[in-house]
Amino acid sequence: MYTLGIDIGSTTSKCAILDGGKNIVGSAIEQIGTGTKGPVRAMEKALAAAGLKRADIAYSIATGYGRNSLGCVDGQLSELSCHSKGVSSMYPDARTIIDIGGQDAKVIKLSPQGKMLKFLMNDKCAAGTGRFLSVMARVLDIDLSQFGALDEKSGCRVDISSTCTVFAESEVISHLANSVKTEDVIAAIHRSIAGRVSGLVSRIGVEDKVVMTGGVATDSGVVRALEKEIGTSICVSSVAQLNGAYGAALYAHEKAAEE
Amino acid sequence: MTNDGIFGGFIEICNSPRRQLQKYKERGKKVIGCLPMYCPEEIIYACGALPFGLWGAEIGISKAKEYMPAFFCGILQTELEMAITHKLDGLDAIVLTQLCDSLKCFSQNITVAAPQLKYICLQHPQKREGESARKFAAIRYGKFADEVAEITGRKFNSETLSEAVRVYNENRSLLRRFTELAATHPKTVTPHIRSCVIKSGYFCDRKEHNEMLKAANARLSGLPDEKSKGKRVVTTGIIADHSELLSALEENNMCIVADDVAHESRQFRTDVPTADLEGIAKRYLSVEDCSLLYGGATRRAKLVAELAVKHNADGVICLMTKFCDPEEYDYPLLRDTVEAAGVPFITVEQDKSIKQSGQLRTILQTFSEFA
Repeated sequence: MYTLGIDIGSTTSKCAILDGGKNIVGSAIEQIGTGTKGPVRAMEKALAAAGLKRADIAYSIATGYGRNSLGCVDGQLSELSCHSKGVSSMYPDARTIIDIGGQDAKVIKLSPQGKMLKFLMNDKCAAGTGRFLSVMARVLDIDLSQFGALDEKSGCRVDISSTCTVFAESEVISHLANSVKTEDVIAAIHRSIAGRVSGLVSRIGVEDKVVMTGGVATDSGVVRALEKEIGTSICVSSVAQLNGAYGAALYAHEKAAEE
Repeated sequence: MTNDGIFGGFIEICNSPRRQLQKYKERGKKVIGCLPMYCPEEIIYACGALPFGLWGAEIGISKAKEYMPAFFCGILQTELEMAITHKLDGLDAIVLTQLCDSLKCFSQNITVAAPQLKYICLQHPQKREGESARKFAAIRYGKFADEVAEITGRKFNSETLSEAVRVYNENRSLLRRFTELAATHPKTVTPHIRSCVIKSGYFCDRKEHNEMLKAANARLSGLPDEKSKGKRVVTTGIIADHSELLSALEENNMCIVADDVAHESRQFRTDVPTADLEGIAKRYLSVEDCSLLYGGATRRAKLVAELAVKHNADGVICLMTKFCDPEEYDYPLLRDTVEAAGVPFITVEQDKSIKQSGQLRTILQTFSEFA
């Protein structure tokens, strides 16, 4: 039995197809999110990757910011529920989830049984989210995929604000104007995000094992900075960006089995 | 009969407070705006005027930005915006209270920003214990009554004050009964309707509101109890009337089984004990569970936890008014006390001046899914 989960975020659309509620047999990530053709494209690409047709899917669930915008699914669930499901299935010993997406950051506390106990989301602010990184990448004219490697080369500490993306952007420009090395600025950007997110983590209480999901988890510089801030190691989910869609597909499998 | 049949009048009032204001003005009534909170409305009523609640509006901020920093209470920013843009011009006066830092600053700004309006500044005693507090409050309320009488041209007497206290105490009692009935009739009394029934009282004569409440309560009493399809929640905070909040609660079939909201139950859970100025003062002095009143944090936290347990709630939703210092001070103790009682606790930010985001919907849906 095949089930499908689609995570429609603010900046990306992710789709995962499961076989028997276990193995991912097809997936796709489109770099455009809700309100675009991204969700449909991600779904079509995931189906093609799995060699399946829409009719082969027993149940489908949408999640993410645009979860209510897709009419062709059987149900919808919040992304926090789906991230919890995905992580607790893949990492049964996980107790804390840090998920940083395009426009928000979430921290979830899990019970030993993998049930969500508590959660927190960031304020209505781009600081500490993927949007913050995108803005900085544009200012620096460097592809985000290089941020992690460049951060490792940083040799001199500079700081930028974690309060506001707009303020931080002007600080980055000031650093560049003062000939601060790009890698040092990138390390500062990573510390800025870590400072913001660690506040959320502290409020909910850090408990090992900490698993990180979401697109920002693919930036190793953010992960290292966060590990320093919260004082414990972080396991990056092997399906970091797909985790929400994976969790949705797991829920879809349960739902299909019920019916 | 549909919900609209029982509650249509309440909804209509809330849909156009301005029309209500015009209606009373056309009747020759003096109307006095009352900002949050603890304005002794009975005194205004006894002096022949209509107290009119001013708790902000869902509008954008433009002119008020000249006077306020961005990090300022949205309720007051939107009131200032309305004052500057002449939306409050029909009011004969506005009562400015001083119970938080924002209100103190606001009371200075609004008088400069909207000089076309009349203002009455009302200082409550901050220290609320002992004989001196009682004396101060009674004297201050006496002076307040004189200031109101200057506007209405009519001083209160023991008869009019007694009638005002009776009307307001009856209104509180009816609202308490209504919230109990709302908890047992979640399909009929949706969060939006619950909010309208309570809020409408701010925009009409409480005597008329009492008649409407009696009819609604009688109808609800005659209906069989209803089972909630969604989570049973207790709300706490300053205000809970944002249309998008109410929609999100309804989308998730949530039932408000009790509240500790300043705009709602905090206004009607304490009666005036005696029909005189001292009695009105005693009501204010006896409130022990409000973030705006010094020393209320412990009692409030305990009260919210008790409400949740008593009503078998699935959780507490803290509606945190953005940039509200008094609520933020209470927050850690409130959260810890509720969680220690084994009740899930979530927080959603509230701001009158901005559109609520998808974040609000995600938080409430997640809460519905896991609580």
